[in-house]
Amino acid sequence: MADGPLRVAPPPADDAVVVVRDVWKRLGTTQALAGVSLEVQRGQVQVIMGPSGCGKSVLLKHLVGLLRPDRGTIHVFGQVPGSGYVHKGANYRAAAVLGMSHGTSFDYNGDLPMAMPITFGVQNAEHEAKDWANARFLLVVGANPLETRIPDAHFLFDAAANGARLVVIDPVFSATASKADTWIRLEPGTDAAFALGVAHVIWREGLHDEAFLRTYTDAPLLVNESTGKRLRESDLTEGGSAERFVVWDERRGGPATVGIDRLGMPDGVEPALTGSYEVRLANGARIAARPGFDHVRAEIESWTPERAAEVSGASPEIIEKLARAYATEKPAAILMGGGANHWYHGDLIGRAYALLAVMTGNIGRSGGGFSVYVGQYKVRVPTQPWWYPDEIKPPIISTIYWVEGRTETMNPAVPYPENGFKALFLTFSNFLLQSPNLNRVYERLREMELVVVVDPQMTETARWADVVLPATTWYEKTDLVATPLHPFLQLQQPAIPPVGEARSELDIWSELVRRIDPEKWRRYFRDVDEEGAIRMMLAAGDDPGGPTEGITLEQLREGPVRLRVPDPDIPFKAQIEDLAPFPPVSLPAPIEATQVFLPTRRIELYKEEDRFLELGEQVATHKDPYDDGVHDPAEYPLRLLSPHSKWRIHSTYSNNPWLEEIHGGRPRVLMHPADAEARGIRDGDEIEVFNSRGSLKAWAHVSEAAAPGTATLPEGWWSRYFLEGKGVNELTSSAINPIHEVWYVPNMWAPSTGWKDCRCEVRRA
Amino acid sequence: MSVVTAARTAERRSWGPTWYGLLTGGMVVGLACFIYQFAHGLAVTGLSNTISWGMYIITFMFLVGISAGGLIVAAGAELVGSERFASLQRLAVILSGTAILAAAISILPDLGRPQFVWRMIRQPHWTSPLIWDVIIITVYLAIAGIDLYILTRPNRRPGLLRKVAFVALPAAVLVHSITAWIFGLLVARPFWNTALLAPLFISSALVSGLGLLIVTTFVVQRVTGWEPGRTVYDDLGKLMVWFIAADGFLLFAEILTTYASRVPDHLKQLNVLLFGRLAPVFWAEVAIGVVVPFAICASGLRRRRGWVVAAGALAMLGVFAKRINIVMTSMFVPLVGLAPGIPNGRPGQGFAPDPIYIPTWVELGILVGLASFFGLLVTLGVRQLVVPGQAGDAAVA
Amino acid sequence: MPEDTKVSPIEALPEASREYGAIGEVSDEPRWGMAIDTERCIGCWSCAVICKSENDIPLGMWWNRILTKGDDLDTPTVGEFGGLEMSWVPLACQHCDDPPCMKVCPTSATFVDVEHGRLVEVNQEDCIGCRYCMAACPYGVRVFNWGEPEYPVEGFDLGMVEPRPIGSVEKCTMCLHRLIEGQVPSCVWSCPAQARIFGDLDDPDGELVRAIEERGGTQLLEEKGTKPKVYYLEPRRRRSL
Repeated sequence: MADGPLRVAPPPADDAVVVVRDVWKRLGTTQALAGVSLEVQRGQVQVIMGPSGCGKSVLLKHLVGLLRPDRGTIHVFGQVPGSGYVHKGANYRAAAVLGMSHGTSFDYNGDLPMAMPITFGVQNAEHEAKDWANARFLLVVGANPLETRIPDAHFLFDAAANGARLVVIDPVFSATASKADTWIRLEPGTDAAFALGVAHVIWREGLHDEAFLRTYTDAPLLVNESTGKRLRESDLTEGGSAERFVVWDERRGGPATVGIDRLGMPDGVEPALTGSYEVRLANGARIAARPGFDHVRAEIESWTPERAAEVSGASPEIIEKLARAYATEKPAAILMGGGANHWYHGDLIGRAYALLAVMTGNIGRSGGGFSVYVGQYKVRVPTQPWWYPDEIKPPIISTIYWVEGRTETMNPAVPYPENGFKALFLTFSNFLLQSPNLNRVYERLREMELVVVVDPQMTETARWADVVLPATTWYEKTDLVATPLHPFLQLQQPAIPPVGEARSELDIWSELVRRIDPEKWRRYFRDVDEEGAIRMMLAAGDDPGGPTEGITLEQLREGPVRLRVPDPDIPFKAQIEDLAPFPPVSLPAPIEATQVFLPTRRIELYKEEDRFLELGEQVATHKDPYDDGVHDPAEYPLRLLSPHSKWRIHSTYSNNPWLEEIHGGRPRVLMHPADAEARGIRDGDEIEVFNSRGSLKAWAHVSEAAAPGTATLPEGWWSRYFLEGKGVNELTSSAINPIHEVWYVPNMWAPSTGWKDCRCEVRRA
Repeated sequence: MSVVTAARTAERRSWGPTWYGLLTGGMVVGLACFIYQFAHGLAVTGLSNTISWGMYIITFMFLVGISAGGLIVAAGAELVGSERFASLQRLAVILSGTAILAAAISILPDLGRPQFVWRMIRQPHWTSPLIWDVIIITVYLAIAGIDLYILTRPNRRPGLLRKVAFVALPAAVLVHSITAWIFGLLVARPFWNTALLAPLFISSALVSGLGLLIVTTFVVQRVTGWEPGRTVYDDLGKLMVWFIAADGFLLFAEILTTYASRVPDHLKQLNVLLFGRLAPVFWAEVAIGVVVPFAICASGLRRRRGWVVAAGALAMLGVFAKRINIVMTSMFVPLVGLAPGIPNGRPGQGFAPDPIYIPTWVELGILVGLASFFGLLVTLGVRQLVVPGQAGDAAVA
Repeated sequence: MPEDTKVSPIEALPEASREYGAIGEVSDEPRWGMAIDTERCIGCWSCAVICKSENDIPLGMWWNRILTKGDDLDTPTVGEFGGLEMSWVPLACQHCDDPPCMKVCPTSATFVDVEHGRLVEVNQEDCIGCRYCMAACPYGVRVFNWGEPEYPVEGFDLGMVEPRPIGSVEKCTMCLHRLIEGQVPSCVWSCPAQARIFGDLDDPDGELVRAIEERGGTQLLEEKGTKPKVYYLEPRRRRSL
């Protein structure tokens, strides 16, 4: 990684030192530069000649940085910040200071589990991995921690050694599945149906936790049957509050109101969870109203084990047994992964599983929870002073909009640039491999005037760039890192000095800002360095009760320091134990931005926003995968799954020579023997995988580990390993779910890419 | 000298330089390949961590075999008091001595650090069959030397040869048995780990040694006009029948026992031989190396020299194929055969779940060198000690 | 990298890591062995890769490899009763008490190191490269320097272990260079699933022997009589719903 043939190094002495490729610049109504390209070799003298006004000065000003594109925005993309608050933060800082837009990554990665903001009002909240060992029952769905969370694998074994039961749900017989007490194979994308079947049994057997539902959720809050909206005090009485909701008190036999400042029910009130009640409104009308949970009840009662089995491919017996075990072997934890979330309807899948945890009261207690483990996205310290100096914020735009453009349903809060995007500045990312719908991405690339890539290695993204700036790896610079799995702050310290001419992202931005706007450089970049940035962020959290209270840089130099969070770190403790309203804050967003997700300030199983009502997704339900509507299952009968491989961190280390010795360096597409045989394919054959978005050629790996009707090709293989094609993401979808546009808080309520929602066909090459 | 003999002598003289030129050239090729291999390491061969022994060991085995076989025939005939092969004794001993010398040399290219081979002398590890093989080969070479010396003395003490044969015969049996035990004592290689391995090696040695003797006798006779005796081919052919029969019986016994008792790891290796990747070589060996020569020698064709020589050559080839099969069967199928297998050993090669072995030009070049060395020594020996002395031999006998 | 900035990896460890890897108290004459928990082994190859790093093992060579008990690498097989099964068997030198490799080595280059826990070690100086030991090892854990060693990055090595010459054989040393510093072998220290236990097979109260007895430890190819000092702990029994 740090060294090797692909390390970006400056070109040899006799190569071009100035490369201008296809630059366009319009000044006013004049197209000053139209596709100018030139190369200047080192030591060479070039003369730019032309009649007055032909654009010579404009070109030179671009070269020295006095001019920048003033139409359209430069879009800065840097991956999820948890693994580098300082240097990924430098991206934000520069974007803020220079007025560039910054892209999102958590939602672009498909990792934003929309079920979480929808249900709990947070970006995401998960139990720390060591808490797995406290569970009596572990339900691992769409996750393969034994390959994707290797350092945490032992917690699962610790749990099993303590007598916990491990159930794994995965279409593929993965490494995690091989260690399970029970492995359940589901038809991909049908988890919601399965979970609703399990909920059905829990409800039918009376194994749910009524007290929990009443106290912490919107289950008892009445919904107006005719409008689908919740009843508020202001509906019942003139001058009533729009922030107080209504329940049906069974003791009194009439409506009672509850506020949003505290969870729980008013003293003496016994709210109904089901039924239909007649309520008199302030304007005299009488309407029928049902508690929110009654909608859930209606939905789950329709999902008999037989119906759930038919859709999901599990057996009714397994659904019955799982329901009973999950509901009674407490505390029970659900560990969900990208496999279940990376669907267009991933939010419904998550909401259905979350429903199980909520119905059984497995929230906010050690050994329980509904945790989605995806990515190193988490901002655990207040990063604002470093990222947004003087509180200047860059416009943050979901990167999927760069790919798709404005959608009709795009939330108006998205700061989509009026004049579109003109340039792309890519860091920490192999963007041209790891984006969905790659061919569409490449089309969009052609519209860019400038593409700059900052990377230690000559990936395919770097090869495509107009300008490549060699970056230091994480072995060569200082940074502050944290992860969602363990509440420790770590100082990433250099093991070796920077290789060759590589510079850190902070250095690179500092140099760029200096050339573009010396005044801003003096203010925001000249006097800061990595240490300064870290101290800034530690200080911001150093209040009593703050996450970094008392943590110093000196402590961090000695080793990881535990953040000031509960031990074990489990989410929603304050809500469950102190009845504090939902949601807790999701750094770095202000609480006001995320509170709107939960108007009731409770766990919401029922959603009243218009779009949920329009699409029939008020409560968790099952919907068939979206790509079934794009690719006719008759023509594209196989589902293309692209999980994370243990041999790489996404695309990083794809070219590691040691690992290549082990896995052989050939992308293999896992197929079931029945599907392979039907296509005349044997193990090791060269095959073509294709759909309307793209195609690739690789090798077949035939095994019963595959689910029938699927083709599994791990993501992250660099393009060059394929016989043909750019990689698996030629085929994946960039479709945007309008539910994900009801609100817009970047990386927290935003369109989450559905990688696994993808159909294909396979044939022998 | 008759006209025919004169013509033949003239022929011989004109073939001579070409022959010696060819042999010298072959030795130069072999030496050059060895130097190339020494510079670059054994990576230039087709060997790998899974199939770590190949052509060199196979050749070594084969050479020890023909050496032992030849001497057993000569010494055996002496002990039994048979007159029939008296004329062949010198030739047999020359072949035997040259073969064992070539065998000793053939080990050197197989070593990764041949420049340190003297450490085997300085610090021998007495539990290692390799050390015992070095000892017995040295002893054996000395015995062959003594035997040849005695054979070429004009005034031989009667019975001296018999006394030498008493030592030579067990030495010959031992040299190939110890070579067998290099392989046969390893629990890691079930196909080799059988009590029958040493007897199998001896029986194969007899077949190949005899085959070589037949073929060489014929060549010497044709080229130099030397007369080995009228019934020699018939007699040798009769002997060949017994040797092939014994060899075939032992092979059958070994395969039957392994196959019928169905011990899994033994069976896995045997299946490669009978039905798997080595099956073509094995069944060809059986057909061409066992059945055909047996049929020839057991039938009336034995009276025709040409057929006996063909049988000898085929039998020799068959034994060579057998050596290949013996080594490869165990090497192809490691005991712990789970994926991804054993790393090949070369950069960029990764693991080899299903390895193959194809000898490279370096290995073949060295074999050419060894064969040339063998040919040169035998030619010189024959010229000096066999052809001129034929009258002397007859006088003594 | 420049010599003056290079520090031995053991020295560079933070205190907590060094504590984690400490062997602890041992008798004067331990008989070193290891147990590998096949329940906890997840086939991640971390131990194999760190072994390559720790010992500067050249490209194309592995002292430690993680075999899949299945149809192919990381591929399950259909079990006895129709269900899919997959597990992993990390395999390196078993440091046998009756080592066939030692017996056949003509120069005693391979020897039993009685001073250090009866580990089976190789002195490459004495190795003539005959590869008899490779033929003799039932486990196939020895690798040979067929050519000049090559590394992914020229000139970079950890330097913890002497490089081995071309034409010599090499294999797992049980990280003897770490044992003499009181640290467990690298593979034991680095296993993320904590699947390896190192210790004295002659200490009945030690963690190693207790684990083998309580969990049930078996040896590979026990019937061959090599008396390997590596034990494999049985996987746990599964509970069905």
